[in-house]
Amino acid sequence: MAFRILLVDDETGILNAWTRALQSSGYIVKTAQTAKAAIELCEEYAFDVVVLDYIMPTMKGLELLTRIRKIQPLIRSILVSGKLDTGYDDATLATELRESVEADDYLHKPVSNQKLRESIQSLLADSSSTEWKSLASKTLKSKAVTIEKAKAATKRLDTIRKKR
Amino acid sequence: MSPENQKLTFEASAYLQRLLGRELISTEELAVVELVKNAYDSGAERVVVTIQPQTDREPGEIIIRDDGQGMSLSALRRIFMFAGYSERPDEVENARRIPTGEKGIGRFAADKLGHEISVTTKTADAQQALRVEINWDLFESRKKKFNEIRVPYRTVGASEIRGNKSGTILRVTRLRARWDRRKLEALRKSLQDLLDPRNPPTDFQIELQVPGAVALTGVISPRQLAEPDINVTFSIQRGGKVRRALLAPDLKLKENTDNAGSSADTSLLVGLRGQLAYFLKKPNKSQTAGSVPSVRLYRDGFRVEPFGQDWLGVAEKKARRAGHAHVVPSHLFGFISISRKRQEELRHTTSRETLIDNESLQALVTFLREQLSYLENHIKTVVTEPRWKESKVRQAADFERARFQTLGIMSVGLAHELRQPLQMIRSEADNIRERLENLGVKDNQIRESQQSIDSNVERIDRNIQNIARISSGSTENVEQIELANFAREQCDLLRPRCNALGIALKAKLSNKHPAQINVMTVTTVMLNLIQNAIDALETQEGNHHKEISVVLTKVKNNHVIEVSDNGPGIDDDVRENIFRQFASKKTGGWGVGLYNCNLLVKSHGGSITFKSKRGGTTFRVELPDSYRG
Repeated sequence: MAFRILLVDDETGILNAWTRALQSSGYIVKTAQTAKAAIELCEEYAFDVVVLDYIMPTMKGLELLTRIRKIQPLIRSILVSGKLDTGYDDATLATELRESVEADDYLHKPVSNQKLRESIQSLLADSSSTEWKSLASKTLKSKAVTIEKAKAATKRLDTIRKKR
Repeated sequence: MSPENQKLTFEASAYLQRLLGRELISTEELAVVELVKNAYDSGAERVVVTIQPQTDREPGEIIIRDDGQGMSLSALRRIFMFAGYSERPDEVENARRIPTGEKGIGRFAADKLGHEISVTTKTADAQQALRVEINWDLFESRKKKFNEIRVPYRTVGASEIRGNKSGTILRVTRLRARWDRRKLEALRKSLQDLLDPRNPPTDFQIELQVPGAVALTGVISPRQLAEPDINVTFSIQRGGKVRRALLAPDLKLKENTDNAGSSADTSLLVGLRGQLAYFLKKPNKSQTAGSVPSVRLYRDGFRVEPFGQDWLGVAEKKARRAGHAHVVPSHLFGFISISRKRQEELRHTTSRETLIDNESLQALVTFLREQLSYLENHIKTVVTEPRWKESKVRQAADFERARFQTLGIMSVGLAHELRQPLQMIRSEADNIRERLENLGVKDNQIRESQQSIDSNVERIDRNIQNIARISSGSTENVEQIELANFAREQCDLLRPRCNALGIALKAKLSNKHPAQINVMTVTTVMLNLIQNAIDALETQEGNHHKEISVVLTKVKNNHVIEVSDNGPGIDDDVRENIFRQFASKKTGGWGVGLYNCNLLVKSHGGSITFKSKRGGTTFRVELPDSYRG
């Protein structure tokens, strides 16, 4: 089964480049240039991973991620940031973000294709654990995910995350 | 008679009166001033101007009464009724005073005030007084000739003139203007300004009477200025020599000269006396007595209009310098006294609003502008330049702070803006490489190009990091860093540039050099010093080996960074001021200049020193470690 990736960035150039990179590795890729388009896509399709920009013109990446999680609680997320990160090396920041914010991974722009793929692969490997899979299948079976269900799922997800 | 021998004569329309009187004089106040001057010319010691404004009950009238010599019937014919005639200064050589009137038309000014005038006049030896009654309306006709208008006169009792002595009374009726309080106040000011405050006429007094208005009524005295901060007085002696004195006690300035040069033909201005009074701060009403700042010209004790408010170009100069003139017009007063007897050439156009442009006027203007320049130079050196210097330094510091703040705010957006395209380059370059691999293309040249793209993408990224570090970094916080690695990073940042210019950048750094230090300071100072070294070497001609070395050591508690180049050395004139602001005009690079480096380093208790000779310069920075265990 091919994994589905949602790419969110306000620049088509970046979306196109990443699409080429990920499609050649066998992923199914959808792209959204705005937060609204991303939410609409999430309502229509189920995704395994969402890759989103930390700074978007209308809605911050983190806010969008929260909204997407309400629709697809089991989605894995990668925040890509081009924002300033002085005084931190990437690893420190990634850890901090992972702890304080609900992103599963953090990458620093400019990110190489290889690094992007590695990040996606490791998240998918993580989600192929039995625990995650059963949770995922339960949630994904019901096509209309209500906010209450999403909340419950997020809560369960949190427990898993804390164990990790 | 042959036609050649026939003669023609000019004749004037009665309307001429209107042109000379009502239309030539711009305001009623000025008309009163003209009539007061006539009284002075008639030898009066006292002139009383009574204004009874028009009200519902009173028809309104203006009476100007003087105790001058008055006119006999023949004088009336010869002078008063003779338009354009005035007694010239040489004709009155023996008279008590120099007449102010020069056109012989001042009397027509009465037309400006009202439709009708009666003139009652008596000489000292006459038994009776004369009265002429003029209705100016009769002169309205353009078709009638000037001399066709009949003006009736008769004799009246001598008692009309006070004390049966001599004098003239002008009584203007059917007034044209409404004399409200504002107009009356304007008149009082005009009369005050008529008199030279420095050399007022001693034998002449003007009194204004407005029935029912006590504040306006009384003897007119010139408005006196308070003691200015800077006082320049000057006079032109016989032979055109200029005597000048400057006095400014608070500024400890005192200068006197008996022979100040001038490029003007001062022989035309002998007898001129003048004062320029300058206030360092805008003078208040009590200092100016309400008079408007300007340079005024007085002739024989009476004010004359040169040509416009700004006849010496003070305001114009300020405007041209975008408001940054040394002499501020609103702080300057001037009182220039000339005499009609000596400067006969300085005379008015008929409207009395400007002086006729001729050699004398040009000499006067040139001379006065020189005196203004003299004042200006003193203000410049003593007041404005030190003040500007001070504010310039403050401004520069403010600007520098604002620049950092702006950069800090911008850099967040800027980094994002730069990293977006960088991300595209990064991804697409990877895509090309992967695609080529899939197609089975293996080519060394392509691989080299790809490596070059990779390293340059990283380089841009490091630069973005650095902008961030410099702009948003705190200049106060102290961090624990590995200084050797950090210094190496800074060198790496500028190494591509060095390579491109054929400069060898050598870093002599130990492997381990922990430091508790302000990162911002080290970054700023290192980038600046290396950049300066590059600049010094870049401009150097010739093929010699160019080298920059960066050495990091620790002396006691101090971290020592030395940046040396083998360039041409620092010029002597730059050397003295090297840590001062604006020492160099150089811009660009990472540079915030040595001025800021010095400030930063000093604020952390360190120092920057340098040694320079032909063949090389070494900057040495010492920064104490902030660890307080």
